Amino acid sequence: MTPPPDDLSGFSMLDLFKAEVETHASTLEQGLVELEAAPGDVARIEPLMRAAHSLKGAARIVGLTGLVGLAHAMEDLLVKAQEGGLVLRPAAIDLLLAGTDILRKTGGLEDGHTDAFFAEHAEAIECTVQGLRRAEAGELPEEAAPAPEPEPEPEGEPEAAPAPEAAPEAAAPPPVPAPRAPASAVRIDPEVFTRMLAYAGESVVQARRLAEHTDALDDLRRAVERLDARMAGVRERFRRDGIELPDPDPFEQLRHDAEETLGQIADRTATFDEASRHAADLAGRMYRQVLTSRMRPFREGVTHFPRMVRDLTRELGKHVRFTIEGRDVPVDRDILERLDAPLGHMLRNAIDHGLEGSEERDLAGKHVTGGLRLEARHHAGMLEIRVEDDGRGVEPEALRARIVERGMIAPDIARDLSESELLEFLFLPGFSTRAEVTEVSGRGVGLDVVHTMVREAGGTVRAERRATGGMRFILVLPITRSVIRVAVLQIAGEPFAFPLTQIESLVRVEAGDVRSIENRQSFELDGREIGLVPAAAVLGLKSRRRPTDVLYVVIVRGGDSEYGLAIDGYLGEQSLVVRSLDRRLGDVANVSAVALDAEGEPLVIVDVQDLVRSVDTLLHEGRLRTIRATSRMAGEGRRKRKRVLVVDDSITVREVERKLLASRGYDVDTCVDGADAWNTLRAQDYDLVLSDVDMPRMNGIELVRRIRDDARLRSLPVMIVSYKESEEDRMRGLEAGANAYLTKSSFHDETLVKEVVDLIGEPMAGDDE
Amino acid sequence: MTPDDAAPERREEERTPEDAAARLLDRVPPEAYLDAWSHALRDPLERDERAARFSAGIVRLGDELFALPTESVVEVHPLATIRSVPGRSGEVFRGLVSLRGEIHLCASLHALFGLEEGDGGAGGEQRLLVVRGDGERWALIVDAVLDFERFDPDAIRTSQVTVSKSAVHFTDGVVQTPRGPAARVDPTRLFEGLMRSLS
Repeated sequence: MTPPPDDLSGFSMLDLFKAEVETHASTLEQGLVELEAAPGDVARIEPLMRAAHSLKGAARIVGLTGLVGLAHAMEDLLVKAQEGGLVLRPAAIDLLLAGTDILRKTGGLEDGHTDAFFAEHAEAIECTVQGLRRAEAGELPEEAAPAPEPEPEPEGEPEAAPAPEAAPEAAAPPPVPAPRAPASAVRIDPEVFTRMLAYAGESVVQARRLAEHTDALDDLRRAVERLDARMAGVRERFRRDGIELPDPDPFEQLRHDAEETLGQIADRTATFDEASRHAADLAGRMYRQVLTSRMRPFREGVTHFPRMVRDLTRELGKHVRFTIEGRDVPVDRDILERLDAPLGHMLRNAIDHGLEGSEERDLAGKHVTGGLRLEARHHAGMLEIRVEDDGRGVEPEALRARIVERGMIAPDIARDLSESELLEFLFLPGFSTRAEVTEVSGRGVGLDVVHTMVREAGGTVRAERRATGGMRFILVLPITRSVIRVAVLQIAGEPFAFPLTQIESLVRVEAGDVRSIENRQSFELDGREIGLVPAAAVLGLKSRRRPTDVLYVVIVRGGDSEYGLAIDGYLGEQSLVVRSLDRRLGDVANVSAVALDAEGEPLVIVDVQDLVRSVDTLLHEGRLRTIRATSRMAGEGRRKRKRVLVVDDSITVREVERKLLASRGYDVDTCVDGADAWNTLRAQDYDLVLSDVDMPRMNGIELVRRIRDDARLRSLPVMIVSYKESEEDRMRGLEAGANAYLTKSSFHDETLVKEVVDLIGEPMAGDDE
Repeated sequence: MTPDDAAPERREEERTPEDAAARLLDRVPPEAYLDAWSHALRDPLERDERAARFSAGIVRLGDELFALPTESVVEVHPLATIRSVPGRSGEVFRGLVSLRGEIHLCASLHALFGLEEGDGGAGGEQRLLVVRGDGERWALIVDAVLDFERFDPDAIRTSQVTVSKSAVHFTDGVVQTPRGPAARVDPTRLFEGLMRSLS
């Protein structure tokens, strides 16, 4: 069945139109900006005219009649310019670009929103069409000063061409950069892609498993060899003992068979080995190929920048020659998307702050046209992006003064800062070198955002002053976000992946070197005091760790905070192919993604920045448990504190009990109900449990019964603290197995603490013995 | 007349196999032959519509049997390594498993239904039953996947006595299987319950 002929707004039609708009709008935008720089180059108009023409046709087919007139007017103006009927001045280019913008917007239209769009934009479209018609009729007012290129671009201006190796594309524009035929690309459902990646990854794992069978075959060969040797031994013994063997010698026959079997095994092993290596190679290639399909050329992420630079320089009345290099450098699609905002920001910064106006440049003896350059390249296994300008740059002494003036650092320390250290201040939040706020930039919310975004993409950014004047910002990013290098760390009995770029170091800490200040633990590393927190607690996992003499600690940093996360152990380094978490899980705290490890099992990738925030929060709320080491950790002169678990569903009661006991010197943990306590007790050792009776999920009586039924916990002292004061309640608690029954009025005096001391002794083991 | 009766007879004068094949394939079928086949193809469909309105996979959790609609079942796997998701893993939602390189959310059907989880029981090792609802997949830990069976819709009883109280919430009837009564799981409630386990 075919759809009725008038049904042209069908989903797929509009989709095709969108794709066409995207292609042609880019051609127009790029071409117009280039044409403006070389207004006389008529050959550049041809592809633009074709783009406008195609858009006109496409708009008509999908029934977007509102656009037909616009595209038509653009086409007519371009035709006239091509025929030499007029020269396209910046004012006309403005109109053509405005038209392009409107066309581009329709590329993002959802089905069924077209009417609303045209209602909203009718005036703008009409205005633009009229403007285009006036331009075509030559009725556009000639502009006064800054618009036209001040002078024909001199070839190879010394100070504007920043690096000798640079071959700026705009310096000698190729006559007609024929509109790049959109590389034949296949649109693929992201879900299908994910599945392809999964299968490719799994085939690598499976191919690796095949190699294990080669080893198994080798074992088999050795077993037969041993059998052969034993037969030889038996035969030798027969011979020594003078036992007559029948003729033909049966051992000879057996050994002959064994040799034959060995030969066969060797053959099979070789064949199998070759096949498995072939499979591994093929699986590896397929996998890399699938990964590579995520890469896009740098150019796809920067197409709109020439236009942005053009509009901005026109607005500010500056003259800037903008060049992009490394357009074909492959960049991961995700990273390309994430680069958009930071790069845009840095370019705006350079134009607004860095590059001077023509007069100032002239006075400084520079070429009146400023140079701005964006370059991408692969360097040392990373993607390196440079944004350079030949403007006034940042004056180190002015920067130093400003840092002191803003009270960010003491004058004497500021005096000793090196240039690169000074420049790092540019990336701090709220730091702006510009005194006044402008529309374009200089609101002090600039480079710190760049810094954050680049960091989130797993990269770094730094600033340099160029020797020839001006600034250079260097962004170093991973070439792909799909593959990351991680340290696999064991936490609460399970492996977790920490991206190597996000951890500072891994250290072993002797339990005896851990200090405890105000119930917070720390140790010294290179002269710094590092706070120690159990990774399992931060991740909300139940630690199954037994106390040890040595702690494995991963050092992480977030902003000014540096923490040591105690882990069970280090399992090695791996390269992982990152996958996003199942969307049903929503945003999971402390987790950034997931991957398959070398064995093909899922591995959760930890978001270290988030983890550091969690540590901050937990420390702030005082909810972190301390790490227990062995009693030997306490070592000579140190003794282990007794540990008490407080269980109550009321936060007030919990906190009162915790404070009472902690101030006495006990190590206190809290749980919110019986079930929580039961889980905690199974994972950790305590000297006493202090429990309420009425609690959700599992009440105190049930908790006591469970403790008494458990072989390991049977002798653990339990004290019940309840509002219930009747003798009946008291008996119920004691019958269940509690060692003591107190009422909550005991908080008001020393009764509670006294009872605890009576039951388990003073807080430090040995004080009472 | 059955389709077989309607087949044309062979003739003696066919000499070469090619000839024979050509004649066989080019022959005009007798009218009754087409009619017979039309009926033969039509009849079972009518019967199937009645008898197989409900087809289900029978799974065992401890001593209890449950029937999951076949259209919700994707595949069955051996139990795989489950990795916890911090802040999300709990009694019902256990974590992530990789099945043929695809990562699935894994949940305990025992815990969801409020049953004690054993070690697989008499049937040996536990299994992962992959089910699909609303386009999303789940790998569910079950003690055994016994069979797939078809049920006459009329045979579904609305009884609750064979199922644990908490599991009743997820079931909407009981079907009789050769191994005993099985509670029929309502997929909508099942997937709702699974989603709740994530929050």
